[in-house]
Amino acid sequence: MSEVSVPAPVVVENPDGTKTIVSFRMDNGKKYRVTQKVREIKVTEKVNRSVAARKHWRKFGAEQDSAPGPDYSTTQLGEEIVLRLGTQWRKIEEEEELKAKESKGGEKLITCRICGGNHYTMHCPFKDTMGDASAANGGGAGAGSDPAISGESNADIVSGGVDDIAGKYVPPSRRIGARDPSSNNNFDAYRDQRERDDAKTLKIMQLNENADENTLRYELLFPFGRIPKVVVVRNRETGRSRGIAYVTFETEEIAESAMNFLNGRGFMNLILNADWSKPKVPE
Amino acid sequence: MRPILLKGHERSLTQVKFNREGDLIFSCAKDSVASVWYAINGERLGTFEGHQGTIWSIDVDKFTKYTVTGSADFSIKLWDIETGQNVYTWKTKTPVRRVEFSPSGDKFLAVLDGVMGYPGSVTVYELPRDAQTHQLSQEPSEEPLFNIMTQEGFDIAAVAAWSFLDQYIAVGHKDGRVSKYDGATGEFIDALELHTQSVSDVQFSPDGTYFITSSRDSDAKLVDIETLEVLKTYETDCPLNSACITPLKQFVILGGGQDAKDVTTTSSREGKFEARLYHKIFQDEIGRVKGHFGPLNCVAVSPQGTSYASGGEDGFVRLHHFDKSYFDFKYDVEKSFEAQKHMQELESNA
Repeated sequence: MSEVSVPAPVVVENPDGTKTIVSFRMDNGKKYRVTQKVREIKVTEKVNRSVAARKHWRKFGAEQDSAPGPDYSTTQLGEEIVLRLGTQWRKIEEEEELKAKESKGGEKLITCRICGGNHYTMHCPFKDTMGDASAANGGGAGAGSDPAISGESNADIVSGGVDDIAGKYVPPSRRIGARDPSSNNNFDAYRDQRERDDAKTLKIMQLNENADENTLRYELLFPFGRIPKVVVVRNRETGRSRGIAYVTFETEEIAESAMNFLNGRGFMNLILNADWSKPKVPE
Repeated sequence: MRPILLKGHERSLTQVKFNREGDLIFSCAKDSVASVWYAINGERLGTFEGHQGTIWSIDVDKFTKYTVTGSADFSIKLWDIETGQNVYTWKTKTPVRRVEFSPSGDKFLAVLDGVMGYPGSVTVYELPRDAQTHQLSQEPSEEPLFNIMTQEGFDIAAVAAWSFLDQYIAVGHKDGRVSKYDGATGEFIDALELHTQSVSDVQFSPDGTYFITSSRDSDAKLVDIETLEVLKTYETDCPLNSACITPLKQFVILGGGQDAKDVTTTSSREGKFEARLYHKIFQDEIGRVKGHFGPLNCVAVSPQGTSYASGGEDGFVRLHHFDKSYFDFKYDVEKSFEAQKHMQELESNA
């Protein structure tokens, strides 16, 4: 019955030499319309007559019963080879090899904690001279990217009576800003940090898929002063926006006014839905 | 350039050959079965089965009707390429080291090894053909047309090839000598002490007026057949097994590598298992093609000059279709000469 209901394909010749083919097909009880735009290109290839005849020869010997086309067991494609002709080929090749070696070194798979060089710390030539000095300096080169923080941490830790070695692992509870979990403060360092962020963060839903962080910053959120953070939630595999964004504002007041402003407002053909990123806990 | 790997042989390759139109590749190896392949996609057309020993050499006639194989089982076999059937078998006194059709296709030469008291020879057989269909018109004669026995004082022949119009036969000897014989009668004409070690390959230029020899002394030389004058010398750093002259571009391709017996003691990088491209005129090495992991036993270039194949001790044939950079390559002097010529033409037109 489905066969009967499918209309015959229609071919329309376009003025620019292309053809538009509209066909219908049934699939799982659904009817699909397929529109194809086709350009026909005729390529004439001249082949020697005997060569053309030989293409239709029957296989023989070990290949007697083989299907037409190359058999993977006997015919395989090799790796791409770059053939660079020139009298200087040897020099060029050597240079390239050297470059490859250098770039590998440039990645710095290994970093010395004492001098930052490309070798193990235990093999550092400055181990004896610099190793102690950097420890005394507080942090040294390897301790952190921000000297202020590393200095602070050093002071902190020294006051806590811990023997400091530059770059040594510091447990979270000992890091700057960490609070004593046994104290009466209820929140641990991280939760507290997050809570504070959440207080100023809005969750904006029903965003257009095409709106990225920059679009939001410059077209939607510019009246609300500095925006420390905008994150659009994306599908991890496809990278497509899921229509949800988290926006952190400078202060809670701005966030609140922004929420009132954005909720129910149209943006890029869609009506936004804004709310606190986390429901407010009554204090 | 992506090579096509032809893995049809179980043992090391001994020779690869293109037919005249360059659409088929013939390969033979030490495993006693020869193969024929389509050059365009590397599809195997078939195998020629019947030999009982190593096939040392294979050749195809210019009509792509018959192929001839010379084997270590003391025989030469003629095969119909379309059906893969063995048409005729010649018994020989010693193993056959090399076979080659004459340019006319009416006869072929066979290099017979000098063992078991036989002094070694280059033997020429005749093929009676129908003028129209190029099929065999009658059963070929078991007896050779003539024998070129190894001369006094010469070492035995290792390889041989025909010049233009079946005029001469150039023979490379085990002692590095190259000698020249009349192609119709087998009469000795001239000889030349060319290499210091065994000549491993002789291949003629597309027009058959000069040939390239490769030798285990790691040199390859370009020699004029008429005068036996050495035109060019290509020096390499490893023993050579094969050499060919490319049509279309002024290059030569050399293949070789360390002796098979030394291979296991060195890394493949040191083994120099690469095809080397030299400029035919300037004699500079202009490039290398890596890929084999054993010495290259044979190289062959298609008569159109658009692809080449190499067979290695590793049992693979690697078929390369050249890409654009190969055809575009020119020396600066060539470019400036062309520009000059172009300017002159413009001036003369104006």
